[in-house]
This record gives sequence, structure tokens and C-alpha cells, in this order.
Amino acid sequence: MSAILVESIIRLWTGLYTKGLPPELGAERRAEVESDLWEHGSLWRERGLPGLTMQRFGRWLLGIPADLSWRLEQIGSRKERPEKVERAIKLPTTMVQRGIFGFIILLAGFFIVMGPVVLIGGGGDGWVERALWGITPIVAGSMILTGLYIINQSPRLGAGLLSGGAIIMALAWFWLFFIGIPVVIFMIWYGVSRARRVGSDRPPPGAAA
Amino acid sequence: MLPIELSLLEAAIELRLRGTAEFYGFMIATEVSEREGARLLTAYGTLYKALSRMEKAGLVESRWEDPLVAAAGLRPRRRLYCVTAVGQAALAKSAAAGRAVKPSLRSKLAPS
Repeated sequence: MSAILVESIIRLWTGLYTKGLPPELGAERRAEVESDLWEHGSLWRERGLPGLTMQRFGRWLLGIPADLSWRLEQIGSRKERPEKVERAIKLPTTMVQRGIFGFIILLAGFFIVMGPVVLIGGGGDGWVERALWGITPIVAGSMILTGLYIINQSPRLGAGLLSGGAIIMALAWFWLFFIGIPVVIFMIWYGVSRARRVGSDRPPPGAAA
Repeated sequence: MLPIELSLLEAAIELRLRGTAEFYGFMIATEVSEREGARLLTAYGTLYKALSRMEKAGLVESRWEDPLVAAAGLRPRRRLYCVTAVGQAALAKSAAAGRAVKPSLRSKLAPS
């Protein structure tokens, strides 16, 4: 796995989970992670230590739950939430909507759990195959969950991430097309319709808050 | 106090005893991993969430490094943390309560 790819994944992920926070708070977290990446790389190169990329990848992967819970704490701790954030945490109201929401979360959770299982116990596969088949579901699952989380706040980006994650999964497991294609269509439909609904709820530009 | 917070406080106090009063995220992650003999450094999310929670609780305080110092070192700015008196007292209390504080550190934890 390429060092640049892992660094980019970490930066992308940090950018995603700090999106929509007060600018100073988000910038501080991104700067701390950036400094950590630099220090880690610098020390490993100086000492000639091996495995920098896998160290960084492991640190990123194992920290995802803490990143997400930190993000949720930031929303919960703010007494006066801006309208954008209120929208981001608004949950579906009807039983059908809740069912669909829950199904997508379960599916994404399954992918995220499956990734490390493949990475650690990938049987006879080589290192590259294991990394590829382990990372793909983690990336796709994270895209789906992040898309779902931010869809009220950023409808286009949210729907794009949701659809992108579903497409990656369908392509990776193309031989399961009879299940994959309906699921992809369903998730794209859900993402687009939800993004449209959020968009139509928004006050027109220039309207008083 | 959570185990990760206890580990970070212990590592920070040991750094201080060795003459390093302030630490930054990567430095404390390295220190914790060396103390615990872990192969993997503390995960980004776990580390920075814990530091953020500890700062809110008043156990540590932080400041951003002078940009000129960082520029002179050709590297990004560090966020420098230091253990407060509250943090040191909390660690001493944990040690008194018999929690897993290193014996070598216990004798040095008298509140300042």
C-alpha cells in the first residue's frame, strides 16, 4: 500500500469528520493530525524504522470510532446549534424511513467490520490481496455512513458519498450482481430523494433566518 | 479517569521528570508505546479525543507553538500540552487508590 495513499486517506477522513464544526475547532484537529503525520514520518525516517505506512494505517483505522464519537460529542456539547448542524442530526421520523435508515447503517457496519477480519485473517491470500479486500469494504462502509451522517447538512456530498460507497461495494462483489445492483439502485434512490427533500426544506437564499 | 487518560498522564509526568515540561501528540504517543511495550502507537482518534477530554476536565492545558519556531524547523506547528496541578493531583489520587500507576512514579507524585 502506498504511503501517499494512506496519508491522503487520513487527511480526507480528518477533513470529513471535522466538516461542519466551528472553523477553529476543525482547523485545530486537522493541524494536530497534520503535525502528527509529519513527526511520525520524520522520526521513522531518521531512525530507519520499517512499517511506517502500516503504522499510520493502523492508527487511522483503530481511531475511527473515537473520531466519530468525538464528532458526536462536539455536536451534543453545543447549546446553540446552528441550523445546518440541527439538520445534520435530524433523524428519520416514519417507521419506513427508520427501517431504511437502519438497514443502510447495518449494511455499512457489516462492511466496516468485515474489512479488518479480511485484513487479519485473509487465509492464503497474499498481502496485497488482503489489503485490497480488507480496505475496500472499510472505505465503502465509511463512505456510506459518512454520507448518511452529513446528508442533511450537505445534501449533494452526502448523496454522492452514499452512492459512491454503494457502487464501490457492487463493483468489488460484482459476481453478486443480482443482490448488488438492486441494493445500489435502492441506495442511490434513497440518497438522491433524501437530498432533494432536505434541499426543498431549506429556506430560499436571502430569506431571513 | 479512563485508562488511556491515566496512561497519558503517567507518560507526561515521566517526561516532565526527565526535563520535558511540554509535550505534543506524537511525542506522548511514542512515550506511551515505549512505556507499555506496544508495537503500534496510540490511534489518532483515541489520542486526540483523550487529550481534548483531558483539557476540558482541566487535567492538561495546551497552547499552539510559535509559528516562527515551527517554520525554523521546517515542520507543521505543534500543539503543546502540559499537565496542570489538577492533572497531577488526579494521578496522585489514582495512585493512592491503588490503580495501575508505575511504582517508580508513585513516590514522585506528591502534589506540587
